[in-house]
Amino acid sequence: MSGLLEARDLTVQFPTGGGWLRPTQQVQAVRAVNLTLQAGEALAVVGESGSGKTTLARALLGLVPISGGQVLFAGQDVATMGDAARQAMRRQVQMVFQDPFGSLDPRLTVGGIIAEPLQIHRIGNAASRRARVAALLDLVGLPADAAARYPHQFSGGQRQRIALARALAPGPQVIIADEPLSALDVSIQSQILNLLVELRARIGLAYLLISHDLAAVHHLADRVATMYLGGVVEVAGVEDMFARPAHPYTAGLLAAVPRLGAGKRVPGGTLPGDIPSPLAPPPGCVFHPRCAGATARCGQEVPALRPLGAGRAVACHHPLVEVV
Amino acid sequence: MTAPLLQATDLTVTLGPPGAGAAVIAGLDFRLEAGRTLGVVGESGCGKSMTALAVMGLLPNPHQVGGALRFNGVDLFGMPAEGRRRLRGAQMAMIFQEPMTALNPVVTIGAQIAEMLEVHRDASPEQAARQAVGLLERVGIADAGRRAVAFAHQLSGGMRQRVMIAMAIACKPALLIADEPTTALDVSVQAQILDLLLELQRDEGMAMVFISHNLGVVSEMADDILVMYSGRAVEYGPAQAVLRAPRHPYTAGLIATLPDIGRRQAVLPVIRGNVIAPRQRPAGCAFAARCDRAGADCAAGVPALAVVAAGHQAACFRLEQMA
Repeated sequence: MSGLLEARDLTVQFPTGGGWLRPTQQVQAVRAVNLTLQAGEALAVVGESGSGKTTLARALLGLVPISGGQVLFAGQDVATMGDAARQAMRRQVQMVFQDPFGSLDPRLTVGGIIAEPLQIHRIGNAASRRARVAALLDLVGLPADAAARYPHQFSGGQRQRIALARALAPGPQVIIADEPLSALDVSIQSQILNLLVELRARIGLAYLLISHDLAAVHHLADRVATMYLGGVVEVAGVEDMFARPAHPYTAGLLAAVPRLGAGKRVPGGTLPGDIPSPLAPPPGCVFHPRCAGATARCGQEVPALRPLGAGRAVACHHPLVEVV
Repeated sequence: MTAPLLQATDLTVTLGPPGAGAAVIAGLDFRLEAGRTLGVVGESGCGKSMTALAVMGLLPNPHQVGGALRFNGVDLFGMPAEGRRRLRGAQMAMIFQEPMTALNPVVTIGAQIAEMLEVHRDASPEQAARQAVGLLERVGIADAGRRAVAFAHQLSGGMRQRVMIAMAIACKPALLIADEPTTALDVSVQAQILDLLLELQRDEGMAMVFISHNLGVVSEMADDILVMYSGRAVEYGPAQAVLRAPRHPYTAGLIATLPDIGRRQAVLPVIRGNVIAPRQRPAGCAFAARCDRAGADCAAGVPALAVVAAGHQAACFRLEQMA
């Protein structure tokens, strides 16, 4: 079965440094990632900042040039597809950003913002676009008169609804959402989470959710991929991963989530250190300097992502779940 | 009974010129004993950070304050500016959400910590520099001697927060105010910083005001919790009692809206509407417009904090329905 949106050995490098008498170095922000988003599924990518989550999302959208591997949409290589197919793909894959204050044009009305992708993709005429804007506003739970107002007249949660309506305008199959909740107040986050769940049920959308909020990931996702220093270290169904993480890094992230009402914290047992610089990745398993279970082998040999059964995969020499 | 380390009595803060501003804190009472942690929770605009700035004497000008704020029994509002300045850094210190904006970008981190000791402890430059390295070690920065000559931008977010903590504890303050200290950090680094703060508190015996919008983090850090909404306390009491048996509809709502890793719900409960700005605060209960239990009488007056259990208070006209 081929997926809707697929990364095959996807690698993204950025040149860095450089300058007078200093050589330019290549930073691998995404290292040989293989990941498939199926139609209608919600796949979350988790990991610390610097793990490459956002760069992966941008590479899938074609917003950053890829240095190696392929991006496939509906089985077709994006790099070699014709202009018409690429245009179609751009309609099908839409993005929602973290900051609903920075991602909406302040000089356009909300109606103009939502209609803009329709104009760009030459969908419908003026009258049908107006009708579509009204339908989209209703879909995301905003009043019809919102169309004539400007973004600054709305709260953060309402702006994120506007951003969702804009993303939905061209009728996409995939929404890539990069930290869509983290700029919102706590009481508003659950409203947007509910909206994301509801939209998926009504339209059959697929989500690629980039988030560091593991509770939100657990609520929304079907499958989860953990990234560390540019590579995928674990992929699993959400319940499997949260109940029995296979990679020590995933286990460390889950253990670090603060628990409400469980009493005061007892220091200890936390994941030590910081994510290393991608300019100087550690040899062997890139996670081994922070791993309590690391052995000599981990410092020498790069673990491959290998299947664990039940759709799970882990890149670890000593996974916490038995390999079948 | 001795005086608490910090006590607010009917604290009000109004920003803006006299007569023109809106009260960002509208009558707040709390107390904090030495060595304990008060968690302050609430959403943006509820007055958490302004409470911290009022204690530190760092409120933006122009402002008016009312009520009383006592530190070790001394009235902070009656104190001259020079006295407040001497308290800051030495007796009370504060760490912020984004260390990059709080640290000086053009002074090495070692020199910034040393400056604290020179100003407040009359340390010689050599002593101060040596102690600064010791403090960096104390907050868990490896290779502290070499790191002391680094600049803030050369450090990771977690390390910058450690540097800010080192500066804050340099003079062994009795009170540390931490305003969203882990909000900008990854969950793994957050856990490291929380551990560090607890260890420092255990060793130095300092009291903490821990401000966060993250109820999970506050649950792990606080002895007592103050839940604020629109410049007022809506619930106040022992942390686990407030979180396990909340009595105010806002507290209960905040807890219910959080997705729970242990229990997946089809639809999350929501608190309808939005946080109100201080200027839009109604004459009655500020939460009434978003409250499922509100009735006509909720608009009539501001509910006062009432005791609901030992040491546990809530400010709601519908308390009997929340039992």
